[in-house]
Amino acid sequence: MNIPKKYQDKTDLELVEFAKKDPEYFGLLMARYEEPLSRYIKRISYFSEEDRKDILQEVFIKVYKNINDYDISLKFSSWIYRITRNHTIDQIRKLNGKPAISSLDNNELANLVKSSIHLEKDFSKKDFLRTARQIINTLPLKYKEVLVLKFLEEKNYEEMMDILRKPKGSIATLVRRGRKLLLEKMKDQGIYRF
Amino acid sequence: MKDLVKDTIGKIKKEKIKPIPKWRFILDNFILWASFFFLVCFGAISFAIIIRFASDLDWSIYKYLSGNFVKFFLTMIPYIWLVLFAIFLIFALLNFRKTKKGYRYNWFAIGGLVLVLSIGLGLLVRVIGVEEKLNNVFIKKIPPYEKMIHNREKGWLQPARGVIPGEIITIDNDEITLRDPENNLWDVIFEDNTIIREDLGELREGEKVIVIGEIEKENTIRAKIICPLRQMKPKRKFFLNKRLDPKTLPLTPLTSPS
Repeated sequence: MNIPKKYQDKTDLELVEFAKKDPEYFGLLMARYEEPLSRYIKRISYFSEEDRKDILQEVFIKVYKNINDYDISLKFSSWIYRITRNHTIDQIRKLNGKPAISSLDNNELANLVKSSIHLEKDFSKKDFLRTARQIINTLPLKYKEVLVLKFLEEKNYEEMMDILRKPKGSIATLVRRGRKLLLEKMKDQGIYRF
Repeated sequence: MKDLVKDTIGKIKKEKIKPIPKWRFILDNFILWASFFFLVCFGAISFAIIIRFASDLDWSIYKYLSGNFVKFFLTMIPYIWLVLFAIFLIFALLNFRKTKKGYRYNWFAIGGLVLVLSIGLGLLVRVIGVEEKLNNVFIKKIPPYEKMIHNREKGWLQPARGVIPGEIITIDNDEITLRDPENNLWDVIFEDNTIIREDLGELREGEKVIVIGEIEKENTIRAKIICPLRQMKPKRKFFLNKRLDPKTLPLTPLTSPS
């Protein structure tokens, strides 16, 4: 079945309603979220591209099965991010691995560190990135994931609250502590904020 | 290169995967809220029983006992209800957090809500008197529970401070024999100036009382005050139990016997 082009302009909520009746419409939602979700999985895990595709397919099927449970009072993107985040963490746990951000590319890594701690001073790129990667990888998951959501996914506190299922105050605390921890570790490595 | 969208739609069609019907989610949600409601109700019943025990205590004589207020309270209220109250509160709190929007509120807000609901409903339960019936059922049907309630009386037993609870075995003109919760027999001497609490009524055999006075010799006490040993039993006065008139009581606690 070919979906008329006009449906591509429909909102998430409208597509959700269509998808409940026909999985072809769900394809439009998948196409819309495939790239951002794949990038998000990459940012919170170390899975290969092939593994990320498998995980994402499982996520989409889970979303489709539970589509009647979607609560329209929250953004569809928050809901699908939540399912993706939980499923990815489940997969990491199944493999007895620790979530890491080692698969972040250099630009993402630099952005994450710079925007988290307002780093302005320029550093020798190679040294800075190597150190930053080491530091990010030692951060506990609870801090890493809020920093990724805030500074790379550019989610606001409301969305982060719905994705992580934590109250807004706790999210703010995690962001603050994550930044503080990151800053302390940067200082320990001789990288200062100016 | 794998086309994820096409593959996933193909899989959905091939395996005939269907969205879970909405009623299943409504049912799950209903079960969650129903469990929350019942947990709050159980918490309320526990609280009602706690305040029933607390209101049955004779607070006017607690100053004659050793220890502080908290210790006194914990000694006299059966632990089981305090523990159950805490358990129901914790589970209600966890249950609320699992509801669709429960994660949006912080633990203190949910804890406060659960506490207020349990206490509010508990007061209602207390007014209706459900807790009394339940307590009586537990006493009849669960022998260890009755024993535990009886053990509360031991909390009053503090001979060193001149406080002896027990059951009146015999009554003479100016002497009664009392059996304390540890099965020791006591001779209680009373005189004209001994205060017998008016809500005790006439002294009679089988009555449970608390004697406050001075130990004269081994297993003999000279009574200054004789009060009823309050137990949880049917009565319908809400917080209106008679209390010792402070004017008729000594202003300072009785000292230890010399």
